[in-house]
Order: sequence, then structure tokens, then C-alpha cells
Amino acid sequence: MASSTSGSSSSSKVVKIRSSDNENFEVEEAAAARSETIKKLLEDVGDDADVIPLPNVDAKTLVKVMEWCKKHMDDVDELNKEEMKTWDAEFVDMDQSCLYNVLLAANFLNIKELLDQLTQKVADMIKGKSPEEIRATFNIKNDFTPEEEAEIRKQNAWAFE
Amino acid sequence: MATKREKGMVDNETDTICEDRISQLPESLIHYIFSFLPAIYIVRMSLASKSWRRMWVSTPFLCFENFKYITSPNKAYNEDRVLNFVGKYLTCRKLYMQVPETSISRFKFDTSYTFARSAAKQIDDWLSFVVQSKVQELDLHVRDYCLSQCVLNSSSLTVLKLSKLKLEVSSLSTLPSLKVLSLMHVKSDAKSLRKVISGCPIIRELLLSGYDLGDLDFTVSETLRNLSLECAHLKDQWLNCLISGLPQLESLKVECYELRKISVRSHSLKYFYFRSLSSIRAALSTPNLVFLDIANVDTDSIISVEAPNLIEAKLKLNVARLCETSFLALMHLLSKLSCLRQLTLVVPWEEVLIFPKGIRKKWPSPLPNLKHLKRAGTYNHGNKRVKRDCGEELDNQPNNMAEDRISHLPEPLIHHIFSFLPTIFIVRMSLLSKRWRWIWVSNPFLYFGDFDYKITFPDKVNKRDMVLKFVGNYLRSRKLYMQVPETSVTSFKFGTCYKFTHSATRRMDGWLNFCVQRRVKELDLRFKNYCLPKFVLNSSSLTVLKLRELKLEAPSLSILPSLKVLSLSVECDAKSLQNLISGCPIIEELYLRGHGKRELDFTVSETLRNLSLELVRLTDQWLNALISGLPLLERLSLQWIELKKFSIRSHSLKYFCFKSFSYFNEVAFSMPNLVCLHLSCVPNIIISVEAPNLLEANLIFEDCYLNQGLYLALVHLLSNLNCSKKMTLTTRDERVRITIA
Repeated sequence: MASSTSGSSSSSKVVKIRSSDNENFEVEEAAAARSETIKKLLEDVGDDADVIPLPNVDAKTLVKVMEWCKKHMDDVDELNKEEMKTWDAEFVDMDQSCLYNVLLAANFLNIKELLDQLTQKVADMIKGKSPEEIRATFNIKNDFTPEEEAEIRKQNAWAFE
Repeated sequence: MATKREKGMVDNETDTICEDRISQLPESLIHYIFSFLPAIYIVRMSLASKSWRRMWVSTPFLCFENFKYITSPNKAYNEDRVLNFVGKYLTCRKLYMQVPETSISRFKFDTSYTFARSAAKQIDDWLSFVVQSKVQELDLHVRDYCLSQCVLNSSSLTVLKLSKLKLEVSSLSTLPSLKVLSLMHVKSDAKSLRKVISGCPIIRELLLSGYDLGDLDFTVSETLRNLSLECAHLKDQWLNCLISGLPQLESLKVECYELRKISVRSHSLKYFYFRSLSSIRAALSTPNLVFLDIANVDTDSIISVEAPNLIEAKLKLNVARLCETSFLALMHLLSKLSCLRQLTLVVPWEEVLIFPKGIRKKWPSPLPNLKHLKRAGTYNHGNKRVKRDCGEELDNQPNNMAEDRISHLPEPLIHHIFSFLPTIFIVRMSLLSKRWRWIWVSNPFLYFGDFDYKITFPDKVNKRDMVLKFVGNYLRSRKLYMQVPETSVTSFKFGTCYKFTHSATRRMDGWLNFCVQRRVKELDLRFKNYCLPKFVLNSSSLTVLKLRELKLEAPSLSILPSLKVLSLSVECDAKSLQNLISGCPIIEELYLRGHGKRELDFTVSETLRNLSLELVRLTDQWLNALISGLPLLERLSLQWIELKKFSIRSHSLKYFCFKSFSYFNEVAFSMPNLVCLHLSCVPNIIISVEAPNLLEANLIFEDCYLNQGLYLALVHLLSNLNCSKKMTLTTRDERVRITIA
């Protein structure tokens, strides 16, 4: 797992990070620094940092997040925008449990662009669906009594008519 | 033989196993066995033993399909091999036809090869031979072969099945014995179809499927018992008439997406299958119906069923909208189906079947006799996808699928998700569960647009008023709940292409006032002819202001101390623009698109990093001065601007985009730190670029006439860009390309 994220260019600096389930990863600094959180930690500890622990992110999620960071290491030049777009679209097309894990990780690691992409993805899953469809999509349990539900419909009738 | 068999059973079975029983079967049985085999095997069987030697010339069932033993995937002459094989076989059959009792009762030719036109003649000959030998069943699957007329006048034919053929009929056909006619994906037209079908006086089964049959319009013999129509073009009225004219019809299958209203009245009908993909009105008056299967109709379809003898029914519903009428219609339908032995209901999710309180009070349960309810799971695209995507991982975490993770996300993340959604969806989500009950009143991103109403209020005629009503109601509720701390309005987006009356603009003023008081940070408005109220231009919290299609008047200096992004595509005079822009001390991005007839004349804060001017009027001099006064400018885009002669010098500029279609320009760019250049113009502009650090250049040259001087200028330009790592060059004119080469 770790090898997949390291070893592409030997010259660039590598940082070590550790997932919540104690797995170590070596990541190029430029990729890891996409995360504002990691970037700040690196600045704080300086060069003699050993391993940066990330207590909120498990290994499986971390692999996914770092995959994104590696791809987005450099500023996207104007001409590769299209290609990048399709890559991003494929990246966010993951199953729901994974999606939330990565979403929470992106939030914790403070990677704004990734967070935007993921929240946009969830928004797209909501868009155009009726409440019933949304419940089904996200497994939300309807804990209203039918009376309560009718009451809400009545109260916000202007949105449901 | 019988004793032998008994003995074998008693003794040891090895005897029976070694014995050749098959050769001793009566010939008719062997032919029956042969009827399941492609002809090629039968011919090969002639090698088996003497008794099999001539079997193949007398077998009455000819089946030519599955040619894999005479064709090979890599060779080009497979079509010829197939034709050759069938042709040879039939020639031999002709020779042996003198032998009495050899007849051809069934002929099947099924191939996926497409033959050359010359082959049609050959196939015509085969068919003419089999028709002469009184063939009873014909089954042809040959792409684009146009059926020979002789087949359509065969007096012996009882079953005719055609697939993928062409059917063009000029004269009335006579098929006095035909009982089954099946046309699958046949290319034909209404007229030909009518001529064939009306030539079948005792037809019992008619199956039509495909989209190349034209508008169906035929009459069929009263003897029909089984009708199946899977067609693109069916007219409600024609279908209703057709069915009522068939006194013996027992089974009816209809699959068509064009039907809107059907009424099926038939005393004889026993089985009815119906497939659609929309909302439909159907009335069934079928006293002898036993089995009913309706699929893929929307829940708001109105289906009335009078079928007292029904035993089993299947209903598969798509959900369109759940409203009172749809519930009532469904209720009514179910109550008609209450006495069945078995009722299968397939719905996308169970809520479809939970009737609203109002209806439950007024009406009794539609299925009072229900004794056993079996839940068989719902069909759900979302889940299916998840399953497919997860693959193996799913096994380890079986609970994940049913888990509701979204409800447990932290509130800021949910608001982040909501920032991409039109507000109407967010209000509707209050119905999801208690967790979601109040999120809509604290959501900081407000987003209202026409487009969403088109989805959500499809039938409302007056969408314009719906938009106003919704926004008004929403904001009134927000005001009510504003006492709750931490509910702020961060952004307000409103876009409409409708024109509103004066009273509506007054309401808009009120909404904006509310937002500005709540210290809104982002405003994005698109509203025809609406004049932006002054207090917006003095909002201290505003960081992003985007205005389209409205009017902007700023007679006095505005104060927008936090504004960073200003985007205008509005009607506005030069003075107002000046007042607005000079009121933004920390502005970073400015986008101006076509406004007014006067030339631009403003100064902008030195903090600007990103400037885009499109379709505006300005003077060369003013632009030169503006840009040289912006030490932090990184991105500049100039599009469709009339300029004669100008030069741009900037040390900070990194991205530059220039698009122009005008002629006789002379431009010079000096940008030592430029990284990316995008030029789109006619090359008779004389352009000189000084950009030693350029990494990327994207050049698009339009068609034009080049003279000597321009050639040189172009060559010079390209050699100047030589250092860039990546260059894309698009031209519309060969001559330009030659120059470059």
C-alpha cells in the first residue's frame, strides 16, 4: 500500500504519515502539503519530524486521500483541465461508506478542493430527488409519525405543492 | 425387445449400454429428434452407419442455424460458405424429392451474416423450392433480406416467423392456412403490413415487435386469440377498436410508450400484459380476465379494472409524483384487486404504499382480505450501484449498506453540501427525519433559480408567481427563526429569466434588505430590469457581488470595504461604474462584460489580481495606464474588444488571454513572468510578445489573407514563443500552416 504512493521521483522530499490503525505511509511532501493540516504540522515540527500521526484517518481512507493529493500535486495547467475533470469525476464515484470516510478525512485534513468535490458529489446525489427517494438513497430512517409528517407538509406547503 | 430390456434391468446393465438402440427407433421418431438439430449434424450423421446413410435426404425438418462448423472466425468467405452449404443441401433434396414421403414441413434459416445483394436471388430460389414442397413452417432470420413474394401466397403455410427481414408487399397476399404470424424487428410499413395481415383468414396468433413497422393500422381476422404488440407507434383509438373487434382474443400483450389512454373491453380476454413508461389512463372491462400484469407505469396513472374473475395480478409502479389523486387512484385500483389469490406489487420504495392520513381517514383499507404479506425487497438503483461498486469489500462490512452515514455528518459539512443545492430541495428535505427537520432554517446558503422550479413544479402554469411565492415564504420563515443564534445568511443567489412587475421588485428589495442585515457575504443576482437598491452597495460584510441583467445606478460613491470579487454584466453608465469600483479598497477580482455605450473610465485598487474585460468599449491609452497601475495583477483576459494599437507591460502577469476578431491592430505584450498565454485572433494583427518564462502557449488563428509583412510578423511571433514547453496551434487556413512549417 505504502509503496504505491512513494518512489515516483527520487529527488523530491518524502514525509512519513501514520494512519489511525498504525500503518505508515511515505508521501512526497508536495502531495502531503495539499492538506493544510499536514502542511501546518510540517511547518511546526520542522525538518526533524519523524512520523506525523493522523489519529482520525484510517489506512484505507488515507490511501484514497493521498491518491487525490498526488494527482493534484502541481497546479493544474490550463490545458490539462479537461483530463483532470474526468479523473476527478471518476475519483469521487465511490461507494457511500467510502465517500463519507474520505469526506470526513478531507474535512479534518483541510483540503479545500477535495472537500468541494466530495460535497458537490453528495449534493448531486440529492438533487432532483423526492424526500422518499433521498431516504432510500441514503438509508435515512423516517422517524416521524405519519401525523407529524403531514404536519410538516402542511407547515411548509409552499415548498411541496 | 421388451424382454431384453427387462433382463438387462434385472441382470447387469452393461448389455443395454453397449446396444445400439437409437438406430432401431422408428424413422418418424428419428426425424423428430433431428428436428432439434441443425442440418449440418444430420448430414454428418450419414457417416454413422448404413442405416443412417440416407436419413438426411428424407428428414422433413430443415434447420439451418449455428454455422460454426462450416465457418471460421478468421476467414472472409464465411457468407459464401453458408450460402454454399444450404444451396448444396437443397439441390440434393431436390434430386431425392422423387422418393415418395419425403417432404419439407419446416424450414428454418437463421444467420447473423449479412449477405450481398446477389445472394437474395439464391435465397428466393430456396424459398420457392420449399414453398413448392408444401412447407408448413417457415422461420427466417436474415438481416435485410427482402422476403420473396412466393412465400406470401403459400397455401400450405401455417406458421410464418420473420426476424430482421424487409417486408415490402405490393399486392394482397393469400395465406389461407396461416395460424401464427410473428414479425420481430422487421423493416416494413403500414401498407405492407395491412396487406399481409388481411390475407390471413384463420390467423390465431399475431406477434409484432420492433420499431420499423410504421404506424400500425390494420384489421385482423376475428379468429385471433393471441395478440402481442411491442411497437413504437400505436394509436390509442386504433388499439381500442382493434381489441373490441376480436371476439376470441384470449391473450393480449401491449408494450408501447406512446399510449396515453386505453380502454380494453373484451369478454374473451383472459391474460393481459401491459408495459409503458409513463403515466397512463387505462380502463379494463374484462369479465373473464384471469391474469393481469402491468409494469413500469407511473404511480399517478389512473387504472380502473373491472375483472371479477381475476386470480392473479402483478403491478410494477414507477414513482412520478405522490399526490392525493395518485394515492386515490392507487387505492381504488388496489380495492378492485382485493379478492385475488395472489397480488404482486413492485414499488421502488415502500413509502409509495403508505397512504397519507387524510386518505386513510376517509377510506377503508383497500385490501381488507389480506392474509399473508410477503416482502420481497425493493428494487433500488442506488443500492444496486453500491453493490456493484463495492465488489469484494462489501463482504467485510455487510452493515455499511444499510447504515445512514449522511445524517451523522457534522453540521458544517452538511451546510457545505447544501451550498450546492437549490434551497427548495433543502426545505423538502425537512421531511426526511427528525435530524433533518430544522436544517433548512439554519442553512446559510440560499439559492433560488428558475430552473429548479421547472423540475419541481412541472405542471404549474404560472411558474413566475411560484418563484416569488416560494422565496417570499422561505424568507418569512427564516425571519421567524432568526432568533436562534448561529443562523446567519452567508450567501444569497437568485436567478430568474422572467420579467416581474413593480410590486415584485419591491419584494426583492425586502429580501435583499433582510440578507444585508444578516451580514450576507455573497450576493449573486440575475433579474431582468431590476434596479439594485443602494443599501446593497454600502454593505460592509459583502465579499462577493455578482450581478447580471439588472440595472445599476450609483450616483454617489459606494462603500464596500470587504468586497473581493465583483462581476458585472449589467446596464450601467460609466459614472456609476466608477463610483462602485472605487468604493472597493481590497478588491481582488473584477469581471466586466459588455455594458453601456460609453468608454470605460475608472481606477481600481492596487490589490487587484484578476481582471477580465469582455465586449466593452475603452481607449488604448486608458487600458495601458490601468494595467501599469496594477502591481499584483496575475490574470488578465481581454475578449472582443475593439483596439487599434496598444501595448501591455506587466511584471506580475502570469496568465494572459487575448481574443479578438478585429483587423489592423498592432499590439505588443511585454510580460517577463508570463506562464500561460492564450491567443485567439486573425493573424494579420501584428503581435509582438516578450515572455521569456512562458511555459504554455495556446494559439488559434482564424482564416485571413496574409501579406509579406504579416508573414514576417507571424514568424517572429512564433520564434518568440519558442521557449515554451507546450504549444498548441490551431489554424483554420492551410496557408497559415504552411508559413509555420
